[in-house]
Amino acid sequence: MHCAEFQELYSEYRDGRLHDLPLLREVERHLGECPRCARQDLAVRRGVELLRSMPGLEPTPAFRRQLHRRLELVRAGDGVFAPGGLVASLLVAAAVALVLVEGVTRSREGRHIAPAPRVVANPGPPFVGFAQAVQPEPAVADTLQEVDPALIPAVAP
Amino acid sequence: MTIGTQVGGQHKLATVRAPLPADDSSLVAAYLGGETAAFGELVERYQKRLLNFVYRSIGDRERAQDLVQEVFIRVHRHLHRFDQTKKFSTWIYTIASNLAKNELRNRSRSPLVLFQAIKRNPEPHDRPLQFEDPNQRPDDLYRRRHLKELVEWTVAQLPPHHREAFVLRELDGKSYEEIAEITGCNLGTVKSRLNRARNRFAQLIAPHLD
Repeated sequence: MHCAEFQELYSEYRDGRLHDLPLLREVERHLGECPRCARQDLAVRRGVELLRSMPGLEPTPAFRRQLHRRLELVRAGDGVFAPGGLVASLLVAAAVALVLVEGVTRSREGRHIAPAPRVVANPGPPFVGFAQAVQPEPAVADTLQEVDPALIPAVAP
Repeated sequence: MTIGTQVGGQHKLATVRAPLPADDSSLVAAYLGGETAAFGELVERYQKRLLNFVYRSIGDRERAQDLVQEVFIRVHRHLHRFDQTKKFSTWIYTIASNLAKNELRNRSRSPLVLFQAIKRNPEPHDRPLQFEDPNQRPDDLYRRRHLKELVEWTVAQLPPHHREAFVLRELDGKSYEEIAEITGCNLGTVKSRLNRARNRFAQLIAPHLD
């Protein structure tokens, strides 16, 4: 077995999940022969042992008091008066009020006949421009006569 | 259980509390059945485990306490919806894991993340004092204490997903299936994360254990 294979199987081996007996023997043999993998295994075992021997954090006395207070608030506010429920109720009430106000305002506006838009004629004089009348350009047909006939490709009779 | 007794001509009622059940699912059932003390027992059972799990996930004790309180609030709110055919410990750890992940995600979006990363580095004077065995020699005590700090620092160096799998397996003794459920991953991912976490852990700690 190579080190890479051992690395792949290491966690299952450590957690006793390697049920394939020949494979388990191979892993154990490799562990006995390879100092590098044996060192890794030892490091994990000793490191975890140290971690487990540490006392760990204890909740502070304030933790239980605060939790108790928060739970009391939750119990007292269950239902409509729960913080979430109250906010949701207020939002729904505000939305209903807006719809009602809008409806009343529109119904009042609807009683007046809105004036129809009127077309307003331009009261000023019509625009005539400042320039003289434009002379027409010479016709394109005249220019054809000025073209050198030698340049016109001959058409076979 | 209510017991009636005749004391001095007056009938007095004394309430004798039945002992709380030993397993979590019975405690859950008892609480849902109106036995409020059962919730206190659940808090007692899980507060320290969850505090250490969340603390190792986010690296901030004060915030870990807030989050563990939030876990119990959520458990209280949603316990009636908990599927009692499932394991309570897996459910409560899933809630804690999700809150810790949210916390890390929020921090990654906040400029405070740099401060948190700095705080994670081991500083001997920043550690809480712990009782040590007075029979040990001072140099042994120093070495052991130093090693403990180092080993905790090593865990903090693991990437969050790998660290979570490592802590759940090595410190909380969860099975691969439970870790998969808590973290929302498949078994293959759990195996791979555990493998990588252990390899990295060994690489970091081995030079200090020789």
